[in-house]
Amino acid sequence: MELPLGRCDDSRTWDNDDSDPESETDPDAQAKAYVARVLSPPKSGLAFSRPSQLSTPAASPSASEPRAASKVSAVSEPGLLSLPPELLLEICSYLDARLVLHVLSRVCHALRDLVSDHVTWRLRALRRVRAPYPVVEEKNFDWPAACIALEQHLSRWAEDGRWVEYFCLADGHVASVDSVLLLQGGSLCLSGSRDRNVNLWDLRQLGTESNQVLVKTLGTKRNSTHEGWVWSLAAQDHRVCSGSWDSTVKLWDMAADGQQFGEIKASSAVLCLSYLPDILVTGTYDKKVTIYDPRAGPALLKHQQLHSRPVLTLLADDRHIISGSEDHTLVVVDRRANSVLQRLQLDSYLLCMSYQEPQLWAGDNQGLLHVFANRNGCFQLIRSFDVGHSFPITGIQYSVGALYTTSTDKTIRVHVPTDPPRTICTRRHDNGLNRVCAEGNLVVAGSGDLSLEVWRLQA
Amino acid sequence: MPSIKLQSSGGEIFEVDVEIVKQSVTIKTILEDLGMNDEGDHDPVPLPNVNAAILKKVIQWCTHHEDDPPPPKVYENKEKRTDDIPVWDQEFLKVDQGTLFELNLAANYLDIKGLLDVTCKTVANMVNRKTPEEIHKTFNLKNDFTGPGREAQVQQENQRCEEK
Repeated sequence: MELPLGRCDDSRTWDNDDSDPESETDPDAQAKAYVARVLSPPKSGLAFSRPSQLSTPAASPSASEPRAASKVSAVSEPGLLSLPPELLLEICSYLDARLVLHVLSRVCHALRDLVSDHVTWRLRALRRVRAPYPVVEEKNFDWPAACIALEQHLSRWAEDGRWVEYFCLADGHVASVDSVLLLQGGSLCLSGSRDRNVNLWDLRQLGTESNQVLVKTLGTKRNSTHEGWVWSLAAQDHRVCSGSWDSTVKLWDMAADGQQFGEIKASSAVLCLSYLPDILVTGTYDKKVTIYDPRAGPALLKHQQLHSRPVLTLLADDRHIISGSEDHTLVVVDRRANSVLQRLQLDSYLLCMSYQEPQLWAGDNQGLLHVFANRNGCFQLIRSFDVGHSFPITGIQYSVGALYTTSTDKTIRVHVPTDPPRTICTRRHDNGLNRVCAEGNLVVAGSGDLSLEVWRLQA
Repeated sequence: MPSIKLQSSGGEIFEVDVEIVKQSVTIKTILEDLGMNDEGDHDPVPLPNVNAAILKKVIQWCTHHEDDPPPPKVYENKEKRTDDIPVWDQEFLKVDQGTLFELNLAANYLDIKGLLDVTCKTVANMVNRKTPEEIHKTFNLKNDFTGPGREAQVQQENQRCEEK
């Protein structure tokens, strides 16, 4: 479905037609030229006005007094339970969230009622973060889990990340590392590079005697995994796929020692991927979003030109396929209705996305973050934030308790996902950082100067 | 040095330096509201929620902490820790539980942040790293999850929570 786009950069003499110049040129040169352009810093004079801070007001503490107030009965001699709820909660605030939730709730009914009240956890979380949270309100928000996640994140990066171990793995690639992926709860890591290789790393070996972290390079060819820059990685369980500027997607089985078990010949450079149990989706340079069945073939199921520029970032789940393109739009396809649900026009273009229902966080080429909310199947832009990156944001990872962003401004920033996000730690590097992935107690990012950057947090 | 009279719940009068007692925001506010800042003989300030023994201890704490810097602004940037109770306070709080809780309640009522913090931290330390059974014993609490069957059910529920 062709889309006439209202906004087009006139400065670009670049083509909008469908002819494929790439078939003639060297894929690496094409890749280099395109990437340099797409990741170029924003033009000066950002027309970005701070969004009005119309944060939905959190319920004032006085209005949400825990109902448990009436349940603590008066005791003749002063015991622990004679303390009013606000004092008990003050004492609880000095205790680890998990102890409060699991141990105190097993002591007696009064304490159980106190700690199982979600208002208790909401107050506790808001006292720790001191900012509106979460960014997108939702019914039945799991406050205890959020509290535990937030407190863990804050304590892991406490004192400006003093307790974080940092490793710079520079012996695996000979060119920029542009994609990273963590597997098995953070014990394994895959990195894709401009040296055309995908490397497998065993992060459990970090800091050990042998220190043999690099396991191998995927593929049987002597020189390289792919025949072009490896730009995207995705995993489904123990199956992994890598997308490259050589217009292929290769599928690897980590349970079979990383053997290749399939290959997809795409129509042009594969810039982004999403791998689900039933489908594998690619976003390509020729503006298409293509769906394959990875179990049979893989067989091409459907392809659509949803955009008028290359597709830079992609997300899919059982209900939607969401694609962001250089054409400044975000397109949402409803998988069940098999049609385009929405086309959101933006002022910039998105380079990376991270989704934890109902919040979709995305980074753009101007260094801004955007939060979209999934409200009844429809995505709306809720907030835009400037977290200090003034250059394109290459990687983002959002979870209920933590937010990580990387940028070509050579920093990785660690934030608390409040409204606005509070940056609790910044790490500078000598070169741009590409992509970020966080799982378990590991955080990894690819760097422009050949290394895989790893931060290991306290468990 | 101007002094002020405080009256405990039982009617006993304590005369204290104004500056020492102003660590209690509650008392400071009463003094300002009643215009008792200037010189002269005033009626004692009644504190019906605090008995004489506890009031005495509170005054003792405030006297020792008279020259403490004012507590920092509320914004909490760092984690809450319980291992930083000053040694003098630790000794001061080596009392029976009843007294400890009364001090906690008094610090809350009188709004003395420093005393509130150390009493809460002390109680938190008593709870920390204990199992429910140990907490029952420490605080002489009754396990009112009636009957062995109910306890097992509660344990199961919590087990499921932990596994999530």
